Amino acid sequence: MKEYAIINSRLPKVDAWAKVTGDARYTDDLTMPNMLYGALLQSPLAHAKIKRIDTSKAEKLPGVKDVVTAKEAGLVKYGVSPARYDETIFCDQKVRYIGDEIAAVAAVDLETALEAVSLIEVEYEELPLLLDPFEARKEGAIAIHDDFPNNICAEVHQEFGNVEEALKTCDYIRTDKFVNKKQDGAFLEPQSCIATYDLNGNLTLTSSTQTVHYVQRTVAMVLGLPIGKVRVTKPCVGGGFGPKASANTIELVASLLSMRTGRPVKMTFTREQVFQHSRARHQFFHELTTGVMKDGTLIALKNVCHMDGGAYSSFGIATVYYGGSLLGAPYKLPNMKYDGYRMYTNKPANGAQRGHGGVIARAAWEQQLDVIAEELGMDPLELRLKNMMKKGDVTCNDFNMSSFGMEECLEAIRDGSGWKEKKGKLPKGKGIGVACGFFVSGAGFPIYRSETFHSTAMIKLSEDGGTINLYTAAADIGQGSDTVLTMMAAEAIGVRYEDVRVSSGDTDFGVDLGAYSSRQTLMSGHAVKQAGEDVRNQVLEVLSRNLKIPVEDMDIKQGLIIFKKGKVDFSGLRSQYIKEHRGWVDAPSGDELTFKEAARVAYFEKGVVVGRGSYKPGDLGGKYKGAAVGTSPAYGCSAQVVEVSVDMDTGKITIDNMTDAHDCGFAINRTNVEGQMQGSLSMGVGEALYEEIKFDAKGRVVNPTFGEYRIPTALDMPNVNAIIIESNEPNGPWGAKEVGEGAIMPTIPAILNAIYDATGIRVRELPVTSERLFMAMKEKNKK
Amino acid sequence: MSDVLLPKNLHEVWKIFDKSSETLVYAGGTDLLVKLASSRVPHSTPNVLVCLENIEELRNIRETDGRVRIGACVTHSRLLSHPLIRDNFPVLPKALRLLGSPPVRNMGTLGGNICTASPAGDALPALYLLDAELEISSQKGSRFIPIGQFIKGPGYAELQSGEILIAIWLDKNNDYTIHHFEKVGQRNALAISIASMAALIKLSSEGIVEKIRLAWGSVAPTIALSSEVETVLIGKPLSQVVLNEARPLLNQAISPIDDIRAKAEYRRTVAANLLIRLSRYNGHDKV
Ligand SMILES: Cc1cc2nc3c(=O)[nH]c(=O)nc-3n(C[C@H](O)[C@H](O)[C@H](O)COP(=O)(O)OP(=O)(O)OC[C@H]3O[C@@H](n4cnc5c(N)ncnc54)[C@H](O)[C@@H]3O)c2cc1C
Repeated sequence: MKEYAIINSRLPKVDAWAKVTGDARYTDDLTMPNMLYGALLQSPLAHAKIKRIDTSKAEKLPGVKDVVTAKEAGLVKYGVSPARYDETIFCDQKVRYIGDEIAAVAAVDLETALEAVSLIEVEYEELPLLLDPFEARKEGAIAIHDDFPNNICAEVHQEFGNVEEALKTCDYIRTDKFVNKKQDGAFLEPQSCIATYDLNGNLTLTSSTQTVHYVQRTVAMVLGLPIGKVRVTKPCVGGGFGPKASANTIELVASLLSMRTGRPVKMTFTREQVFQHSRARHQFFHELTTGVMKDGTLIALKNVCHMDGGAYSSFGIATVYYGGSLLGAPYKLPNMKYDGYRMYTNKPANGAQRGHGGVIARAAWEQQLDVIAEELGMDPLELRLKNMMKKGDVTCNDFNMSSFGMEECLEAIRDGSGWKEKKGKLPKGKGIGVACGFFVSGAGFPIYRSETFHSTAMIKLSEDGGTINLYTAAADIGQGSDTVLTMMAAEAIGVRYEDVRVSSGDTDFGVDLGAYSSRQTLMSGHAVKQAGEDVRNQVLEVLSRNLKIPVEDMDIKQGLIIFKKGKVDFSGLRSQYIKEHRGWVDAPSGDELTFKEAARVAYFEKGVVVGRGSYKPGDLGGKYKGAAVGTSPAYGCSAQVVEVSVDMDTGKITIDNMTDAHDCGFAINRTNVEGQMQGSLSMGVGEALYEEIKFDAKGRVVNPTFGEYRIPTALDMPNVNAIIIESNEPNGPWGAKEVGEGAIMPTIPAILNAIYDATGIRVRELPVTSERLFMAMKEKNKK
Repeated sequence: MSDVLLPKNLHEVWKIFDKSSETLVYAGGTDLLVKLASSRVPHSTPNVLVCLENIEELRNIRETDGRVRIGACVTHSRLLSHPLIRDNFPVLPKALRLLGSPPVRNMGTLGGNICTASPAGDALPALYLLDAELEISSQKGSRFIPIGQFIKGPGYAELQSGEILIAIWLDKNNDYTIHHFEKVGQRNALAISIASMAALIKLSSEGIVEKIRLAWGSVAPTIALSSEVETVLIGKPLSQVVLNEARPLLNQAISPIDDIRAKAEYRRTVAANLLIRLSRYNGHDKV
């Protein structure tokens, strides 16, 4: 493989020092002179009419600067997909879940704001509650949104091939049901923002977000501001995983309050408010019917899915499509039918979370494939190898696997885990399981229909030539995009990693759709690569004129100009540079001309040396309705083997080993890729074993804390054997594609399959708590 | 909002009690501050919070006349590394190792775990078996009370207003050969017990139970004890057969409930399975 100077290495993250020393600043760490604090009044009832709101007492409280309700905020509808804008800043006629926003206060400090909120009087008339999505669908159920009388927020019906006919030809068919529970994103940093509206009518919103671009658009639309007057920027963000990929209430409310008071306004969610705002993984009810031939060839899949959507649409339109479109692949499957329904209920709205819409379908299907393998007397890993797609294959729903190292992944985990020595040979209480998955490398289309570029980048050289400034609106939310994009810029130009300074996550730096759908390495990466090459060419062209050497005879490596045809006299340039920088510490020296000197020459000629890059995916095929959800310029894929021990006396599951292979196309930063794999696996462990948002009969979340909503701790995670597979994606920069979400796909089913191997129990309801497994074992023993 | 006072000695504590009526004492605050923070209404907080962790007398561990005195504000981390505790009462560190997480153990105290009086308090089963005696003081003087009488119910300890817990006293001379604690939680750290069991056992050289003390957490309103189970095991080996015979007796001693973490039926079965697992100490049994 080609040697690179910067990429494909293990350079430390650009923000490593700030993060490990605690110096990194997150939104809630920031303050502004004269800043006010905002607080929300949220509904204590899950479904009720608002009869009356009286804010007079709150307004009179000393220290209160503003109190707003729907009356002041207006009723502009917004949401994620323009097809389902169903939210307003504040509720007007009715509330739809516990936590729905009714009013807000800005005050001189948070305590005063909270006290003022407690003084607002609201009179409600309770309405019947709909907490169960199947109840919500029933004839005669009260409509949560007037426009959707049967509470079906969205439905999808797709068929590729002919499933009924194909099933008739199958040797073996089985149907299984599967259900998970509503999840929380469980990012460590609650949403927080500071809005500052200045005297010229510019709004600057600093927010903990994954997507400055979408937030900018939504804020401008809802508050009636020209888009150009709204700047959205993010400081360090402590994780997002999906729920921060769209505008949230406090971003809108803080902006409104700042516009009205003329002062900066900060708002931060409590952990309980994070659970109420939610927008994380839906609850899915899947019923899967799969037909195969005796030799294990997959023939047809029928997938019926009901989703508990919660009170609003959020990302749900995309989710209901993904619940179907992310099955089929990574296997060759000629016939697939999908019926998906997303229901409104009086619960916090569900949205997107790592592996959007596909994770539970994947868990259900990969477990079913395990059952099928057993029924056919096949090794489950062999069954997968047999059906695996290869590079160049196209799925029945038109996804083009332009690179696909799935077979390499399976072989790597088989050999890396000792599968052959272990499968079928472990003692009772110990088990081993395998599963696969794939995921998009960036959504092929923006959330709103548009010809927009998905990513732009700008690289500007400093006047002395020594610093390369990279500007991008891409969002580093902890996953390391700043690092990867910095490495790409350095590689494309030929300079050192430490010479590039990245500024990111700001709408003033360009357009970038943000950190969701595992898109930035590929899409922002393309833009950065292009901008870097542009700068490189500009510098070399000027240098070429200056030294009278053709561009082709020069190269830039590690910050030095390479003259391919032997020594060149550049002493004139050097002495001029040194003369101009007398007294500075970093005078160029050595036998080679430095990039710095060359860049200085370019500066003399151009004044401003700026490289430009922009990217949008080309035509990706898929003309059927809904094809926009799932088509991507590239697909990552992965396979995992998990080993577990089950304590037969308590049902406690211990994950002993995880072997994971992921095809990321090409690893720009190998440590970062492994970090994403490990993070995905730990998230999968949590969803498989612990995580569940619980509600009481009134629709209140009863465990809105990390004490009672449990994610894995360091003691629950085994060491992960993370194996990187590189298949050189033709549509990715340097061959790179995703790892951020795809790596979670196989985790849950691999755990389920290992649990079965250890206990003989198929669990079809998540999470598999010790109690759930124990009671299932007890039940089985009775029989 | 409330004031936080940091008295340096007991005398200052009594003065604070004299002056303000609405006070709440705390040590590490890992129980109390969580409770206060979760009631988000500003008015419900007490006028004065009294933090006891700076009072020297409540922070030391010392030995007098064959008894070890643990100041109420000694943290779990301190206890875990203290030779007097490690060498004489191994069952206690075995339990504390599983309490919360390192930061929680660095802040949380033994006195706090007792006064919170949760049936899931991880230090409690061990303290019951070690016959911990509690020293309670007020301005008027001190009294001593066994832990089993002090804890009355979930979240309810026998503490009069103006009283605080000063110290926990443990008798050094015990000759148990097995110090055992096991906890079933929902993950390996930061998990409240769903069921737990502590055991102190003395086996003869033939593996016969000479002395045994057992206590269960999280399966009754307070720590559950069963002299019936203990009695039936004395004079017998710790075989699965023998331990299984005790299962019905245990069933009578516990009264678990359904809550957000687990159902009663699961707790009940697991509590018994924890007992039966003691057979792992049965060197001479062939079962
Ligand atoms: C994340 C987390 C995880 C936890 N995990 C566990 C666990 O696994 N197992 C477990 O048992 N507990 C756990 N706890 C609970 C808690 O940490 C322990 O109970 C700890 O021992 C409490 O000690 P403290 O000093 O922090 O108590 P505090 O919060 O200071 O006080 C607790 C109560 O005791 C009273 N009090 C404290 N000291 C005195 C005194 N000297 N005299 C009179 N009254 C007093 C206070 O008024 C208060 O009512 C956890 C807590 C947290 C936050």
